Amino acid sequence: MIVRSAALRIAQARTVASARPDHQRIHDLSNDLADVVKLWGEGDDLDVTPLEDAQVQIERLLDHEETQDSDPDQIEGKAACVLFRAITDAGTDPAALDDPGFWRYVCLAHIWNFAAWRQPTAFAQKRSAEGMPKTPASLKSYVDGNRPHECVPVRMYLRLKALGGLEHADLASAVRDGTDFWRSHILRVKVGEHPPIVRAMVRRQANDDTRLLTDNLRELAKDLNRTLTNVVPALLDDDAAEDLVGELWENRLDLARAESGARRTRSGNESDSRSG
Amino acid sequence: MSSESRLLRPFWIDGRLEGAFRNTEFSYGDRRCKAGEHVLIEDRTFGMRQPVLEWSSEEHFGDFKRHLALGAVDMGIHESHLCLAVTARSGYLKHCERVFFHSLDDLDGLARKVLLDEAPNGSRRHVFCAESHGAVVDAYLALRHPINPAPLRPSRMAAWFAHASFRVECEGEPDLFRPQPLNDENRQRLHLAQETVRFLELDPTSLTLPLVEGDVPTFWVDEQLLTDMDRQGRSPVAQHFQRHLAFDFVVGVILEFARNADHEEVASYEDIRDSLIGRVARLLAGTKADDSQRDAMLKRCREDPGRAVALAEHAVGLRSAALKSLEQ
Repeated sequence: MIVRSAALRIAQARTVASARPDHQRIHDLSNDLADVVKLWGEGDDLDVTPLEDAQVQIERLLDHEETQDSDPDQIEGKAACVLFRAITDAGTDPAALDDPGFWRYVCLAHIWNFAAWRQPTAFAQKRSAEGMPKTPASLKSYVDGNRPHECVPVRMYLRLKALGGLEHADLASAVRDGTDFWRSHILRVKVGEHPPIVRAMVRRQANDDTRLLTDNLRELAKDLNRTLTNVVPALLDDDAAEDLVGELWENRLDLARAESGARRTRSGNESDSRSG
Repeated sequence: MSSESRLLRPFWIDGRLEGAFRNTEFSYGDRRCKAGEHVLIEDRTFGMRQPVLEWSSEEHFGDFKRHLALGAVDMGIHESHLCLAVTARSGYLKHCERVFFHSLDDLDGLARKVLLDEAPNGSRRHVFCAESHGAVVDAYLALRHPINPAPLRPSRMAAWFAHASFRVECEGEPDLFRPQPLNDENRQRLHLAQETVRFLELDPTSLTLPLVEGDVPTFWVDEQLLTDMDRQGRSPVAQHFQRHLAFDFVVGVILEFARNADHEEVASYEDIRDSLIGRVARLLAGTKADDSQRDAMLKRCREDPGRAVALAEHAVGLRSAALKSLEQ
C-alpha cells in the first residue's frame, strides 16, 4: 500500500519548537502544526490514529506511579515498543522512514512531551536578550531528525529495528542505565544494523553476572569492531552471532576480573605493609 | 564505540581470490560504477531504478569463475565452504540485508548479472526505497561455515576473502525556478519595456526564509521566446539560452542577497539550508561539497558577489553551452 507521508521542513520545525512553552506538558500537539505539516507522495493519507494512540500510551507511561523512580532509559525502551508498533500499524512508507522531515513531524506532533521529559536540559527554553524564544542548539539534535541516534523518535524506532522487531520487545528495556550502551555501542555504529549481534550484546549487558562497566564495555566494542572488520556480519545467524559475541565478551570479562583481582591484591599488600 | 577505521587483515589470501572483484561493476538503472566508486541519482528516481551487479564482462566471466575455483583449491578450502554474498545497507535506518547469496560449489549455476531489488515476497527491497540517504551495496567472497584454523588463513564463519563496495547517492533537489510566460498584460502590470526578455520577481526579505514546496520565485520569460525554446529544445542555441536563463536567475538571487545581507547578524548555511539562497549556495558549491564548503560559498555570495556570479557560470555549464551554440 502506498501512503502519503507527513513531513516538516527543518526551519518550520525549529520555529514551532522554539515557540513551545518549557516544562509543561502540551495537551494539543497538533494546534501549532496545522499550517506547517506537508503531505507528500501518492496514495491515501497516512493514518495517524495509531500514532495518536501511541502518544496517549507513552504519556500514560510517564504518569504511572512506578515510573517516578524507574530508570528513564528503560522507560524509553518500553515507549520505543509502543512507537515502533504505531509506525508499523500506520503503514508508513519505507521512503518516509528514511526522511528526516517525517521524524520531525512525529516528534512535534506525537512524541514532544515524551522527548521533553527524556531530555529536560536540552528542551529547556532559552530566551534572547530581547526576551524572544530561542531554540537551544541541542534541541536540533533531538527534534530535527538529521542524527538518527540522537533524535528521540528515530532512536526509539531504531532500538526496535536493531533488535529485529517487536518479537524481541522484552530486550528493549532489559538493560538498566542503558543510555550510553544504546547510543554509543548500538545506534551510532554498524553493529546496530545486525539484530543477531545486537540481541547477543543486550542479553549479556542486561545480566548482572555478565554486565560490563563503562571502560570494559568500550574495550569490548573495540574488540567487536576489529573482528567485524574481517567478517560479513549479515551472514551471521543467531547461533553464529552468539558464538562470536560470547567469545569476545568472555575474554573481556576475564580481563576485567583479572584486573579487579590484581587491584584487590595490591590494595591488600599495601594494607599489610601499613599494618606491618 | 571507538571510531577507529584501520583495516586489520592478518591474512594471506590467494591473489585470484583477493582480486576476484577487480572487474565487477554495479549499475543503478542507466548509471554505472566500478568498485569503490558511486553513482549519483539527481532526478528523484532512486525508488524506481533497478540495481544490478555484474561480476565481470561476458568475455571474462569464464575466467572469473575459474579463478575462484582454483584459488579456493590452492588455499586448501573446499568450494562448498565459500560463497558469494551481496549486502545492501542504509545507514540512517540501521538497515542491512543480504540481497544475494550463492555457494561456490555451484559456480556453473552462477549468473553473470544479478538483480538485487526484489525481496522474497516480490516487493521492492526497502533499502532501495530509502531515497533520502541512498544505499551502499557490498559484494563479498566469504566463508559459509567455520573451517579448521591454519596460519594466516581466515577460518571464522563469514570471514571474507574479497570485498567490493558501491554507493548510490541521492541529490534530490526540486526545481530552482519555473519560468512564467511574460505576455503584454504582465509586461504592463510589471512596468516592463517591450524588448525586456526576462525579469525576476523576488521579495528580498524572503531570500533566507525556508521555501515551501512549489513556492519558488516568479521568473518571467518572454512568452514567444519560451514557445520557440520549447519547439527547438534540443538545439544547441536553445540549450545555451536555457542555461543562460538559469544563470540569470542565480545571479539575480546572489545580487539581491548581497545587497540585503545583514553583515552584523550573519546566518550560517545550517540556518538557511532550506531557503532560496541556501539552495543557490549548494548549487555553486557543487554536489560533492560538505556543509562547511557550502557555508564558505554563502559567505562568498555575501562578501564577494562578483566572484560568486563568475562561479555561477561554471555551476550551470555556461561556457560549453555557449561554444556548442557557436559551432553551427
